Amino acid sequence: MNRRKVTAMLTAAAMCMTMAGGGLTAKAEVQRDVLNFAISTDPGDFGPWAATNTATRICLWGVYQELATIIDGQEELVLLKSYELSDDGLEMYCEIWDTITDTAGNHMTANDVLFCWETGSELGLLTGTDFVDELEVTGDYTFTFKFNRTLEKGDTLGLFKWKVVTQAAYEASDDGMATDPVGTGPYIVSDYVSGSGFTYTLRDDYWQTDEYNASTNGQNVQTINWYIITESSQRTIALQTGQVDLCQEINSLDLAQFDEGGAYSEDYDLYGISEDKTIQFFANCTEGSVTDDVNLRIAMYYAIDNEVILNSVYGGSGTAVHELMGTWADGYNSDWDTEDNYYNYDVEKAAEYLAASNYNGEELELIVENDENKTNVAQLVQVFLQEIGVNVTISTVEASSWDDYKSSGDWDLLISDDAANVYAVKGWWGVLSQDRYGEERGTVNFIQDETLQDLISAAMAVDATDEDNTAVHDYIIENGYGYGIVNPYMYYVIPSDMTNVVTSYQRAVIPGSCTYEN
Amino acid sequence: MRRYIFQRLILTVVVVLLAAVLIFTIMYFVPGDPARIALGSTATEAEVYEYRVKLGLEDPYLIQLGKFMFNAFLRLDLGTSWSRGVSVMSGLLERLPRTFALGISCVILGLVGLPLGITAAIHRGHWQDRVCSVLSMVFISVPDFWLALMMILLFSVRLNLLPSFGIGSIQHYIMPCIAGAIASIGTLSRQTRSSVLEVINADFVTTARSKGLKEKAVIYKHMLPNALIPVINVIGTSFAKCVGGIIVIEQIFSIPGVGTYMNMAIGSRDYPIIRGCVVILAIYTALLNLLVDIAYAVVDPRIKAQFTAQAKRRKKIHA
Repeated sequence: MNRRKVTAMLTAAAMCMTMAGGGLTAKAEVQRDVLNFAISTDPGDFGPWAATNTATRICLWGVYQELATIIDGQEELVLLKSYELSDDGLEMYCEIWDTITDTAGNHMTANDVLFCWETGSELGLLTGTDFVDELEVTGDYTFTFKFNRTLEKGDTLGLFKWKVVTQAAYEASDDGMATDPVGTGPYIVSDYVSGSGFTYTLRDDYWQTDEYNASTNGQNVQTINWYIITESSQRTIALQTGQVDLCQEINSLDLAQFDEGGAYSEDYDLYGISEDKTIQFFANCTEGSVTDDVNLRIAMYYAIDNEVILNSVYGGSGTAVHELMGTWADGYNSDWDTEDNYYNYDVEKAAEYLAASNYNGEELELIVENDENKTNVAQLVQVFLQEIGVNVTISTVEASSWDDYKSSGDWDLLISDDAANVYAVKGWWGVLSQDRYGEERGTVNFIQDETLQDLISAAMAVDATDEDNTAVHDYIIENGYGYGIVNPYMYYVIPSDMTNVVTSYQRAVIPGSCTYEN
Repeated sequence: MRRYIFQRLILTVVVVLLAAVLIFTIMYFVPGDPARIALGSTATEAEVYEYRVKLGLEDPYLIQLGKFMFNAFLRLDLGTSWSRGVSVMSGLLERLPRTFALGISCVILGLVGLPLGITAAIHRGHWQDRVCSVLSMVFISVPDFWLALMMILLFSVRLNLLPSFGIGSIQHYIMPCIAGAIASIGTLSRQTRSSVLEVINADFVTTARSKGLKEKAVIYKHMLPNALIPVINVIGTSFAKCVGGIIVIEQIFSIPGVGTYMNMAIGSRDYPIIRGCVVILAIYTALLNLLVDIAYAVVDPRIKAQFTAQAKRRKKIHA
């Protein structure tokens, strides 16, 4: 792996530090004239409220801006100049920059922020903001969020992550900016042909200055041509023929060609980044079910060798995890990687726990989404469990019915990849919180445990400590509530002159912010 | 004749309406939650429910069906894409010309099968027949996606002559057209050969020959007009297939047509797009079948005669 640029977040961190320490020269000097970027999906909708898909995650960064963003778990203000919490923690006083303009020349004020907040709320697309009662405009550039509870970990991400546009520009658009986006970002979109591609051109009148410029809004490329190539093999061919410089989602079998020593390594490099999702293994904890047995669950976890799964299924591209989320999540304690209370592969221990369980050879149904890698993981898990005498049958479920099947509870074991967040605690929240799944279901695997909920709530507090996180971590392990298997990498093929890669909190490369050697 | 066309037209309308009801019903019962897909995995159950209400997904089946049929057929509004937020009709209108252009080019290229089939039939049992038959078999047997990939490897990767994806110029359409037409060439060639063989020994051909007509005149004036009647059906089917069945080719060459539009919509459970595409394709196919039927009636005197006789009988009865 060391041959590849598996620098993941470290590189992004280095980039941020370089920018912070060395001054932001991005606006002053364009480092590359043209960059051709192949993406696998059509963004379809360029509007500020577009549904998130692989393409919008990558390409809307250059067009729209948010109040603030997260880079390496650190908050970075974008449209916001500053914010401050009230003493009781129930209000947040915010101020945006007074120099913000969009590509149509409209000047942005706090009323525009309010307009976008209300529009997003009306459309039902402002998720993770149910703790906000009101957004009140208090001045031309100031406004206040009023909360119905004190902030929890990750709340500020929900509070700031929506895109803000000017009311004038939004209302001037016939289709909610779906095809003619007017944002405050550094790039202007042109030549959009649905399903084919579009072009980003650097703005001359971009409002951020060298003195202040968010690292996610770099202007290092003059023109970015985006090509929508849905076929994986075609993306590889486009790289091979030099039609594109940067590419997302390449077939793993083709990666070696662009790696060091590969046929195309002179022009390209590989950039690996941990996927935001981790492959997890859960047992159904519905009261009275076969797997509502902590000894059986722990026996199964000890029987699984996640290093073998990592190497066999993912060719070693990833991390064998010791939690339900990847090591990159903010709040993840690196000590967890080496502690001895995790279920490191041990068949003897597995046999001991199995003997102590009430398991009598029942056939357990393992459900998995119909995806090649996940199905392969399920098959290996089946083999590992058979070795200790646990009988498993695999049911693959189509993506369309996956959520319904999962929530039906008609299964014993589950291979899933639900927990995805920049914060470790939000990763737990994603699979084990009653707030997420409702009181009746409890968690993704039907656990009813007040202590677990209390521990997660404590860790969700803004002032939560490492101890709070460790308490959740230990409690999950002790009760065998879930088992993280692998956090795989995803790869971008990048041009060899790209020296620093900047990624968003959504794990997407931001081409305009990356640095290029001349 | 007018009655025949009217009957077919009524049937076409019924088929289209039934197709619309069927596709709506299938989509209604297909598992999967578009609201969950739109909001992402971090949304709570309550947020998902609220969004479902906003999309109208919580309405009863009949209300949803009624709204869909009313909007689609009376207001020509196929709804708004859930994943894109734009009108499905405008999305389709943007993409249909590309799909039609590609499809019609494929059909035109597919007409190469006509001379191949005629040559094979006229030279039955000779080397020309064998060559044409082998070629037809190969064209039918080669999967279009395989041929597309092989052409990309040869003409794009090796020779660097043609672009491997996109729609920027005429060159972008060369490989997709060949890949899309190859099966049609084979099918048309075989159908033409068999149709020509059916009439080659017919009495009217023998009569034409015995009158001392030149062989060319026998072939082009007497044999072909009769032999090509069944071929109209094959060409009509090719037109239908070229639009509905071009998905794979569009996908491979990243051509933003109706096929890729529908494929994308299936992946994101964007029901309005899927329904819209299927309804438009159903209308297109039904109209095409209507045209083929009319063409049959015009070309084949037997159908015309049948209707004329029926009309006369009815007149007699009324009298």
